Amino acid sequence: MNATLSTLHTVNKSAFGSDALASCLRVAQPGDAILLLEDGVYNAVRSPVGASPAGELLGFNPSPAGQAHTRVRAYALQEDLQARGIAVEQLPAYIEPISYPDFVTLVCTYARTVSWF
Amino acid sequence: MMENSDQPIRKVLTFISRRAPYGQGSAKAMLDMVLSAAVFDQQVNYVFMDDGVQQLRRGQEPGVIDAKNLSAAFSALPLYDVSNIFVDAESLQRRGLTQDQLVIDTLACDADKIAELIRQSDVVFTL
Repeated sequence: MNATLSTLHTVNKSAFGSDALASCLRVAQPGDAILLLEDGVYNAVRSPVGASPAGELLGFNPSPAGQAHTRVRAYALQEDLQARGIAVEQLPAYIEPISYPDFVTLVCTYARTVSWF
Repeated sequence: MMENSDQPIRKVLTFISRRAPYGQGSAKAMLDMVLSAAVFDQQVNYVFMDDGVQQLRRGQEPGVIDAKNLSAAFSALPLYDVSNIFVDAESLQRRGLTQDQLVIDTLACDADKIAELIRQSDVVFTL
């Protein structure tokens, strides 16, 4: 997949109080990436039923860890996870924690960024 | 691209408006951005999605809450040559709206069309 033609989507709200994630996932295409940041990182946490809101919407559902699909790449900003008490171990395997420098790299790698808020 | 300082750079700009008209200034700010881009002869796609479709609902009387009516400004869009005005059909349907209840003519679209518009854009603005 050629990232230079693809889009980086950022989501900074929890799916429990905003339609930002749902709308983002409606238009995200194979090869695109989604970065969860600020309150968007809450979407990365597995809920009691097993999947994270992001996972449910991405169609990743409660599969055993490691069985991640790669239709859309998913990342979460480390500092925002840490600030909110979300341990990296709580993330499903298909969501990769990244640093601020990684964030910059993503923005530079993809052709454009669409922010959902 | 040929370097020619006489030729202004023309980019494809997509504006996705996702907020209801009053409460915050988002809808008005987005409209101002769209008109500015059009004045500078950029190729503009204006997309209404989620609560953004409420901006186009006919019969608004915002004067009674001391807010400015955007509807008149929307009808000026053709004067600025903004004709690529899309409305997300699912967002409309979920709010009980149809295209003929809107203040301007729009092109109905689905998520795939919005994805295509994004993919063809140099820059995407959301507000």
